[in-house]
Amino acid sequence: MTDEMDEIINEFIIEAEEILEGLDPLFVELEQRGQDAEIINEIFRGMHTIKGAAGFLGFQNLVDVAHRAETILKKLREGEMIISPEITDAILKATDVLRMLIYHIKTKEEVKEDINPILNLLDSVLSQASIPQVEEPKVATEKIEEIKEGIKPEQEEKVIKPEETVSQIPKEKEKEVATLRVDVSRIDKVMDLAGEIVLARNRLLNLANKLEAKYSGDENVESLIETTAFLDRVTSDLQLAVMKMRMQPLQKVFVKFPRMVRDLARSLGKDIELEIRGEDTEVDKSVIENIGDPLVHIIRNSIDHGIESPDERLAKGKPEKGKILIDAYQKGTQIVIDIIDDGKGIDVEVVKAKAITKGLITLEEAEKMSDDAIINLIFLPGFSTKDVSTEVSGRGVGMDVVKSNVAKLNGYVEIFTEKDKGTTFRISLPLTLAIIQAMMIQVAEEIYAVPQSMIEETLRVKVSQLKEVSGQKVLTIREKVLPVFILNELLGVFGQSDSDKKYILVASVGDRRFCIAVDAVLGQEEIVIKTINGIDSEACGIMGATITGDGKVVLILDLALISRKVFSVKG
Amino acid sequence: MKVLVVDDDKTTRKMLSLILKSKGYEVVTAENGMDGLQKLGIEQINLILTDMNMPYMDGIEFIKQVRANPEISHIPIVMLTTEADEEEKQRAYKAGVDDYLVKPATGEQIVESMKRIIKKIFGKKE
Repeated sequence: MTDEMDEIINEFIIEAEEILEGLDPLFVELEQRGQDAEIINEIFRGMHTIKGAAGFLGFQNLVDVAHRAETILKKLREGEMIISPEITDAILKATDVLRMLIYHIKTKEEVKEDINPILNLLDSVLSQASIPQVEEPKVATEKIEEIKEGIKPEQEEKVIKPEETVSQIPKEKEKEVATLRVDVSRIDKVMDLAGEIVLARNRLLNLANKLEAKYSGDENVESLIETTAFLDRVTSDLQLAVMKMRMQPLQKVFVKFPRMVRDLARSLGKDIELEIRGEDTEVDKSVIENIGDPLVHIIRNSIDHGIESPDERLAKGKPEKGKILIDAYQKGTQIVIDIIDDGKGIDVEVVKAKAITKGLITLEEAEKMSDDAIINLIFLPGFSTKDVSTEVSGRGVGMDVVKSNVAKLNGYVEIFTEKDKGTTFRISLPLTLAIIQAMMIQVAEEIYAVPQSMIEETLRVKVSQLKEVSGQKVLTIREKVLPVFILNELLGVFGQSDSDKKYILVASVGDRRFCIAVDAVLGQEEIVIKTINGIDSEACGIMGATITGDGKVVLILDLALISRKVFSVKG
Repeated sequence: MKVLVVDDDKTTRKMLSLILKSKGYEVVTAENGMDGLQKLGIEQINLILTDMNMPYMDGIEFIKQVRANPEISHIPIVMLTTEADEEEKQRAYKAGVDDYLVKPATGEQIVESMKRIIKKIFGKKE
């Protein structure tokens, strides 16, 4: 019986949290559009539902808070009250308190919550504005034109009259999509097993190919080849299907941003419009779970350091209102999230000076560095463009954490900035994390895998074709000079197979292009990344391991990390 | 014992279903009066729990329709609504509800009311 009750309460928590999550963006929209009856009604419905559902279960605190918020919303909807930032703040606070109360129910904490402050706040909002004053809004707001638009006579209709409810705004027909809530661990198990099948398939393909070479024309071998080809296709489909099971829309992460931008902008006295595109883009669940913090950090930075104050913007001839655009889309096998602001841009000179005073680079190094390279210094640990970090983007966390968090998802961050035009942070992530196309390479006697997505092309060159410029080996490819790193040296692997020819992998990681010289390229294979427990993959540049078609365990090299290392050493 | 829950709000329907199921009732849900009438045509319903304000067909009209149809007019109806107005309550009783509960009502209160009505009806029959 108690179990059953727990289940009902859990269900309530999930529903209530979903509703509350959906409300935040509505508030922001409400502030932008003024007294929009439709939005108010939607918020009202949410509150109403929470109140009712909480009532069923006897959560009186929730009922009390939701009831008062609902009353205010009803007055707003009927034009008996005029929306103002104070009222929005009060209702937003109410949603925060509801969240807290629900959280306590969730964690089963026996906390004696004092909800009197919020009740008093809501009551005072109610009493202040309960005198119907539709004509002359006494509450001073900066959005009078919008409000006037909002108050239309038809809002006077009393929605209570049941006869009229027939003509109520037709509710969107709920899509009765049959869904099943499945424990993530079960999906992960399927994912794991699918990975194992991929490995077995690879071995089988390998074996079948060998047999074909040996006994070509044999009937049994022919049908084995056919069967493995079929298995190959089905396995690919299975992979895709399992992958999709774990995919969720980015909206889950983005939904928090409107409120966050609103609150921060308000606290900093800035006026910022947030536009979100591509929130339907689906990414792996682990991306949903881990991309939030880096995004929050970048957005905070844009609000705090990027977008100028309204006065400053006007002085520059820019619109008073700043803009941040979050744009998510799929590009090939990658998911890209752009965070674009129209602020002041990143000042190369400021970054340069800062990096020198912080001892991150020397003056001579700075002279030699390109603007792009300098801007990328903000990703170094210990870098922060403001001495006194504000409450907003401070908190002792720097952009380096953004970079490393994104790198953990096998992604990378790029910056494009232009003075007074704005800055774009681009996060690129792989579509799936578990299964990748890899290039198998050989260094002396050892075999490694390198993610295919980072390799632009491969070529074979004579060692003598490699030139040396101030201690750095370089190779000219189609008139572009690219640095070359010898993998044998980087990994400390040497053997007798050092012939006079080398294979060159042209790698592209973020905005960096470079070459990696290896002894042999063995081919391409679809591999399943298995994490290796007990090693620090950050430190050693190894992403994980995989089992190849012929049953060998092969380490997967993390080119992003390796490139970062070599570039930071060689400048 | 099969209960028809009529409410336009998804969460309310879900929560009510869960609570009633936990108390051992079977539950069928409908999104509005129109939908409710359809469900009554398919399912053998023993009791109706309905909201008042709903789009397409509201609770009052729904009750009137149920009471006007001899095949289903005997089914007891509990109205569960936010309308605390005495006037609304009278309208509901006039249309033919057996009990009138004002939201927010706890699960216990709802089940109590249902039991009360069932007892009353059984009492009459015996």
